[in-house]
Amino acid sequence: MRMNIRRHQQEQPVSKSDVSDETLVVNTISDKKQFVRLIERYEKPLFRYLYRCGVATQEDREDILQNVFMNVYKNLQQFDIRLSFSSWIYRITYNEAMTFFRKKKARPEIRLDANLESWIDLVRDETADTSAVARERLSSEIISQELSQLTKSYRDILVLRFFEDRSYREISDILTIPMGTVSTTVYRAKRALAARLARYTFN
Amino acid sequence: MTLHNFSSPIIAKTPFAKKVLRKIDDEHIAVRPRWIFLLRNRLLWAFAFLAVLVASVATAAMFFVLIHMDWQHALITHRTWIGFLRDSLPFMWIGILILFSGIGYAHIRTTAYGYRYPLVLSLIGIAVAVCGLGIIFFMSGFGQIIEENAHEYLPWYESVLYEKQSWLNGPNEELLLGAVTLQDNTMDHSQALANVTTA
Repeated sequence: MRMNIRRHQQEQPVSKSDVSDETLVVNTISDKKQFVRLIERYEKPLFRYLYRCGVATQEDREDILQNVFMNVYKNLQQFDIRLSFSSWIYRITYNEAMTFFRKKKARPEIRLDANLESWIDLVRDETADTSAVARERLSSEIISQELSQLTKSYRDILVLRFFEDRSYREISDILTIPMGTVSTTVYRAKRALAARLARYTFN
Repeated sequence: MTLHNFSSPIIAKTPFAKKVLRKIDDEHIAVRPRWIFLLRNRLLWAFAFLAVLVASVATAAMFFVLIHMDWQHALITHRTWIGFLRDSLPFMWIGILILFSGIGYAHIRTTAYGYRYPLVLSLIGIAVAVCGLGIIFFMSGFGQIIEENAHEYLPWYESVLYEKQSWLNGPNEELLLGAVTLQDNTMDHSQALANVTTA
């Protein structure tokens, strides 16, 4: 890590949008105010991710996200350059969300947003069975409802793969499971969802 | 440490960012030192190694018992193979082996990048390490020492190697336990047998 820190210190980007997350992490360790840049960079995507994870209310999402950033700040030195910062912060967010559901004994309420179309295209490309889903243009309510009925591992992986557009490596780092398990679970989850949605297309 | 020169001063623009920073200040939250995380990771690896070591010792003792189980007399002392295995297999060592291999795996899994190793690969790695070390311990006589000490000091544990003597002590089943106290090497065995038949 020390070597990596040195490497980042040598880079001197001028615009804040050019600065990598990893550089911001290194800078935040010595100057707390730099943390603002990380918060502002990830605030919206993580809010959206929590919404997709099924955290229903705005207040809950805000509370969870506040805990996320506090934990991120506390554990900044734990961050390892071998992992992307994005995967690391998503992992912390996922864990916080799961702790929230456990504490509240609540079931996630999955709701889909504007990305529905692209998501359907992705599913259709990977499984022939779901081409009917795209043809029929099933409503987001139906898909949300059926997605909610899937097992937790299937739901989590589909959200990351198709809504957050994460690679298998990133999903592996976020959910802390081997990459082989990710690809198998994605395949099974899609088949499970396709089987559920097939009922609507036949009707 | 060199900091980057950004074009604008750092001011939190969103209310949420302000709120988080205020909370960090109010609660005096500080960045934890890196050595804590490094130590934690190394401790996890050390515990994993210790667990594999215990599993290897159990394997050495298990090998010792398995080799001295008197397989050739299995159907003399017992009616069935199942009965023989039930009475003879070193279940305690097998249990310790499985338990500590599992503990070792769990510790490796919780290290910083442990989740990246596929389950099968991890299990094969642990099995090879446990068997390899177990064979080394067994060859160096450690298996016997462990088995004998367990028999002596663990009140609930009775070594099969001592217990099997009682299986041979059953005159009703035509089994008679005894010890050779005198051996006459000058005697011709065929002669001795002939004497017995004539008598």
